[in-house]
Order: sequence, then structure tokens, then C-alpha cells
Amino acid sequence: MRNGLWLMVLVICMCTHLNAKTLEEWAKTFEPSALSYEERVKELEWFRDVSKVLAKKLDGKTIRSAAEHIKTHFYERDVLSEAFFDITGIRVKHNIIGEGPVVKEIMTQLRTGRVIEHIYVNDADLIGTHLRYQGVVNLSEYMKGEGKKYTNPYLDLNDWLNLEFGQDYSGNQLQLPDQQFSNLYWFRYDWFTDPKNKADFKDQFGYELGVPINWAAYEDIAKFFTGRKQKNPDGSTVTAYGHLDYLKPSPSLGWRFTDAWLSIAGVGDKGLPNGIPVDEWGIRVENKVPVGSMVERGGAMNSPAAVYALSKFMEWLKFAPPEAKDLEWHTAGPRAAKGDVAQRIFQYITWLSTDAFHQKGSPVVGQDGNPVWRVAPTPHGRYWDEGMKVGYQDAGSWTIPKSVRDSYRAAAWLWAQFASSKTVSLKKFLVGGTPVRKSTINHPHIDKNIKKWAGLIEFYRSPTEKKWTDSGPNVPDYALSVTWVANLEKGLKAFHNGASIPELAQKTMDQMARDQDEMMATLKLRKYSPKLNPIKSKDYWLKQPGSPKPERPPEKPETIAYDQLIKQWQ
Amino acid sequence: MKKYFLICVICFLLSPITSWAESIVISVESREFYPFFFVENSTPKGLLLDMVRDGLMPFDIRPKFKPFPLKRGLKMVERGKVDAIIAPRIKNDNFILPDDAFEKDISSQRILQIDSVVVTYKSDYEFLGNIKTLPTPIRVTLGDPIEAQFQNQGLSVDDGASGEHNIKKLMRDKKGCVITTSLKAMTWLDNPKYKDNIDVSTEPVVSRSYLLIFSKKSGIGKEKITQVWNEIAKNRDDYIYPIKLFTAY
Repeated sequence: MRNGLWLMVLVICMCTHLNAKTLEEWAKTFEPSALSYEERVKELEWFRDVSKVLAKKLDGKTIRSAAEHIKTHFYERDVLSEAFFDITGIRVKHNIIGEGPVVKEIMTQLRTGRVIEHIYVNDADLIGTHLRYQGVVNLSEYMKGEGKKYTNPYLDLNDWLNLEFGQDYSGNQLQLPDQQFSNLYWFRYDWFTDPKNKADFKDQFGYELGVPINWAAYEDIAKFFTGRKQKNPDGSTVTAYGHLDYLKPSPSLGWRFTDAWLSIAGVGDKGLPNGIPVDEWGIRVENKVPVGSMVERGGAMNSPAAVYALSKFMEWLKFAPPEAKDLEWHTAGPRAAKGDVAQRIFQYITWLSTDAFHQKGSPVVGQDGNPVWRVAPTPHGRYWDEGMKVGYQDAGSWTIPKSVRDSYRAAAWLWAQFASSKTVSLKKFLVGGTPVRKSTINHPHIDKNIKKWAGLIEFYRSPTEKKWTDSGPNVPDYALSVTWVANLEKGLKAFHNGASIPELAQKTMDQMARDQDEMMATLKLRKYSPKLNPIKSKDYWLKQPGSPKPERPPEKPETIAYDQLIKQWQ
Repeated sequence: MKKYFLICVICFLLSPITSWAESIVISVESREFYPFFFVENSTPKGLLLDMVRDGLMPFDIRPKFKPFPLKRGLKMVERGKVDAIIAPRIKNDNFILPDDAFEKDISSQRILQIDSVVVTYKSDYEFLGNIKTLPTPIRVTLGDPIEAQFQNQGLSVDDGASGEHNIKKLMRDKKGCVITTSLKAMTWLDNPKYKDNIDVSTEPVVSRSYLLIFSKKSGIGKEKITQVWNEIAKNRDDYIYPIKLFTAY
């Protein structure tokens, strides 16, 4: 019996060994890469050597990490964690959960100190929360001090795109980007360049059909395409929709707005990456301290620009497929690939890597195998001013809570660096479509296949990309977004019941701003805790320069030809 | 006469607010387990008490918390002298616990999951799960049931009146360790008096689901009890509720 047991153990060990790849085999697997084969071997050898003592110490233990359910993270779970174990001997369980649960888990861990995960891929939208809670490892300090030994000499932080998203006011890296996703304008290039469509549009509206620069043009284009018969490359004829959106009650309804929608309308102040003193959430800060969301406190959450943002969201639903009311961000993500949507103002690029947008035979893929859709800059609303951020992009970023210490912290840090290393990053991008390194987007392999990404690469290579940013450090606690969801749900219910839009939008934003301020007032944070301004008249604040901005008249619609736009990016 | 009648009517109308709410007695441990439960100026307080109070509120049940040492509290629940107790899972035929209390280490109907971690004087030592490696004496707060776990392994245990006593002893003796909640350990790591001289383990020495355990002799039915547990869980998993809850401590 005893011998039988030993035999079983031996067989299990052999099987494990048989499945394992050597370092050299893994180095070959990560092709194409920004590094040559020899350089990859060198980098992987560093991971192997530095982990020797650590792996022995953590023998039988597992590093737990959590990330949201997108292709990039599935690749990390299914391929990279296996490679990491084979090379370093450190076992990682990369839990793929929804973005909502990721936020909930990390916040619970920060509040209670209880270790739920050892590391999170947490959106850098939470930078304002982290710098105020002071609950996560300051990676800049860690890399210089205790973690120096475990910091990859080939890390090359200068190669990162938008490293600043994960930095506090002083430039300390609290979160290290792992995957970047922008939110861009998506449209049917084939329909927009069709001579008949172009002529009809010009007849109807008096200007050229093209990529809309502002919301007035977006609205005209939405009107134009809605109900119009259009042809797809697969031969199907569809009745088109001029717009696509989602509004199912869910946390993602909150992101539809917190992910800079107010700012795209023009709510905030000038300043990059985020408006100062008023940001994309309509929160005003004074000396890094949030002082209010209500116009009456100097915020802009219920300002004319914010009301306009919500009004347009509601008005444009008539141009969207009726199922929009049942869609969430992840179900709306690949929806445009069905072939009946002409344009979408708010498209997360995360979904553009799905097969639906690329496989031959799809209604949105041409006979040559290339997409007939393109991405372009987000059109802005009438309150937008030059010098403001243009759109939204964020980075799921490696974040280590302070409650994770010593060997676990070192192992978690190694895992983060491995999963975003130069060796693996290009391959990871080809799977998930969410880049993190400049060496990825500038690689010759990408040049060869540039058409596949339909404008996305040109976007990332252009300096204008810096104008797409995440929620900034003004937001003192990301959980405030719950007040957005609750009020939007209520507002949309009234909208479905026929309430008049401008009044309803004003009422909704008033309540939202009040609720957000009430919540901010209860926060007691370690740094820059909110301290609300006293109430003054709306007029007082609307007369001050910058945000909150007074009512503006409708803007003149403007468009640009896509091919001209792409030249500007190049 | 009319005046007295009017006063009686007003008192009657106001009475539901004060006297119609159901009242139950809940035992809590009398030891210091900050911020989860502790006694301040003879009044029991803490996060767990707040959560139970809020969970009972929609059912119009008002709790009265009474601090007792754990063993005594459990006896009182068994005998039906109190309606319920806030404690980790414990097998007893006279208790009503969530169905998953013994199936899972983290009960879905818990009040909170609380980890106890190891605090040591700064050294190369790192607790990685084997309690036999813990530096001794192991300092716990008086009455913490975890003590038995160490004693069963033949480890030297020293129980102090509070966590503060224990950390001071650790600082003085520069040896042994302190077992405390991860939340308490975080406050020590922020305290300039201790932060440069202590290490706190990542791995918990124990992780317990704290539950609201009812006595079978309590008049409250299982259906209502389940609703109360669900209400507590709903609050706990909410995004907003914890902000307000933790801000108070």
C-alpha cells in the first residue's frame, strides 16, 4: 500500500514535470517580442535566478492575484502564470473576476487589512482613492529600497505608455499599468466614404460627411443613418442605427458617466492629464483637497455642461438599437460588429480585439480580410475648450496592498513585472489588444499588420493620445460612483416614463451632486480628506473663470475626413 | 379631563416608536478586540455591534448588547438567558447558525471575516503558516479562544489585558510575538512608536467568520433569523455602507 502511494506521487511528479516547459522553450513561445530570442532568455534567466530563494521559502504557497474578465487577463491566467511557475517555481492563481468585485475586494482589503489577494490589477481610476487611503505599496520607494533586489533590471519604465496614470500628486508610482484601454469614436469607414451617402448627407446638412469633431455633427450623422438601408461586405442589407449605447442598471452604467462623459461634454477645467481645479467628475479641489461637486460649492456636477451631457445621452437613445436598454458595457462592447451600427461615440477598445470585429465573413470585415470600421478621436461637446482632456482611457494597473509584506510582496511584484515584461508584452497585446509598452506599438510586426487595428495604432503612436486620460486624483473615493448609478437608474426610469429631458437631467444631476457631496463630507481619509466649501449662489460660481461654466449656445457642426485625420496623427 | 384624554392619545400615537419595537439581548465578548468589539465606559461598542444593529433595524428589532467572557456568553445562549451571541462558529445543538457555517471557512452569512496576524519584533522571521515556528511567548488578549490552539501545541502563551499591553511587552522584551487583528496591526504600523521595530505577517494565523448565533430558546424563528443574516450580508457587501461604517473607527 505504501509503495503504491509512493508510485502515485512519482507519477504525479513526472506528469507535472512532463507538462513543464524549459526557460528556452518559453523564450521561443513569446515570439514575436520586442526582444530578440537571446535577450528574452537573459530576461527570463533573471526571473529564474532572483526567485530561487523566494520560491523555496514559499514552497507550497500560492500568490493570489485578481483581475477583471477581459482577454488580456485570461491570457495572463492561462499562459503567463504557467510560464511564471515553470521559470521561477512560484505558483500564481490569477483570479478572473468582474471589475466590480475587483474594486470591492481591494477596498475591503484596504479597510480591514485582511489579505484577500496578494496583488490586484486595479484600474488607475482609483489613484485618488489610493493616494488618500495610503493603503497600497509605494512602488517607487519599494523599487529603491526593500524591493530593489526583486526589481527587473530590464524593466525599462521609460518604455511604458502613460505611466503617470498610476502616480500620486508627487509622482510616486502607486500602481503600475498592466494593460491600457482607451475609449474612442468608432465608425463604419465604408459607409462614411460611400459616394451616395456622402452626397445625400451634404444635401441634407450642408457639410461633408466625415469624422465628427463635435457633438452637433455626431447628432446629425446619427439622424442621417438611423433607418437608412446600408450594405455590408458580407452581402447583407441592414436598416442602420446612427448610434449605440447601453443603459441597463448595473455598475457599468456608472462607468458610462464616470469614464469622463461629463468631461467630454466639457464639464471640467483645462489641464492634463486631468482638469484643475475641476475634474472630469465635476469635483473641485483646492490644494489637493476636494471641496465640492455642487455648483453651489464650486463643483460642476450639476452645471449647465453636466446637464447637457446627460440630456444628450438620453436624447440620442432614439438613434440606438432598442436593445440598448438591456445592454451593459460588456454586452454593448462587441455589439457594433453585428453590422447595423454606423457610429458609436463611446467605444472601449478592449472589445475591438474580439473575433466578431475581425473574423472573415463578419459583416464588418471586408473581402480583403481587413476591418471596414475605424477608430477616431472622441467628438467633444459644446462646453469643451482647447487644453482640456479629450476623452477617456485607463490602465488596469498592478496594485499591491500594504497588508501584503515580505516574501509575498516580493513574489507578487515579480509576477507583475513578468506579466508586463518586454519579453511577453507584444504577444499579450496580440491576444488582448490592450497595449502597455511603447516597444509593443512601435514594433515592426505591428507595422506589417497595422490595418488590422483600424486606427488604434496610429492613435497610440500620436502625441495626441496624451489627451485621453483616466479619472484623476481629485476623486477621493471611487466608491462615490455608486451615487451616480443610483441616480442615473432613477433618472432613466423617469425618462422611460416620459419625463421631459432638460428638466429631468437637471433634477438628476442636482441630486447626484448633492449625494456625492454628502458622501464626501463623511469621508475621513489619511491624506487630503474632503472638506466641503460653504454653499454660495450658483451665479457666484458661474461668473468665475473656468468651470463651472455658464450656459452656451449650440455649436456649429464640424467634421473631418478620416484620411486627413490619420495624416495628422502620423 | 379632555386635556388628559388628548395627552393619552398623543402618547398612544407615539408609542410604536418607543415601545412596540421588539427587543433582544445579544451577548458580546467582554475582552478588547478593537475595533470589532470592545467596552468603553462600561458600554460595549464596535464594528460588529454596529453591523448587527443595522441588520436588525429593518425588522424593528432593537438589540441590547451585554458583555460577558466568551464561555459564559455561550452558556447563556445555550440556556436561553440571552437571545444571541456574536462569536465564531461553534457546535452546539442549542444554537442556530448559518447553514454554511461549518461547510465553508468563510460563511456567506457572516457578519465579518476577521483575520488574526502575527506581529513580531523586527527580524528575519516570517510567519508562513506553521504555528510551531512562532516566536514565544505568544501574546494574546485575555479570553481570546485562539489561546487553546497554541497551548495544544505546547507553545508558551502570555495573555495580556489588551493589545496595547501586548505590543508594549513586545517592545520591551524584543522577543516573542503578538497575535492581533489585521486592522489593529495596521494602526501599529502607522504608529511612530512601533512602526520601525515591528513586522506583521501577511499570512493570518487564523481567519474566522464572526457570526450572529441565535439561541434555539430565543423566540425568533429561523425564517426571520435568516432574513437578518441576509440583511447584514447585504450591508456588508454594499459599496457605500462600509465607507460609513469604517469611518467611525
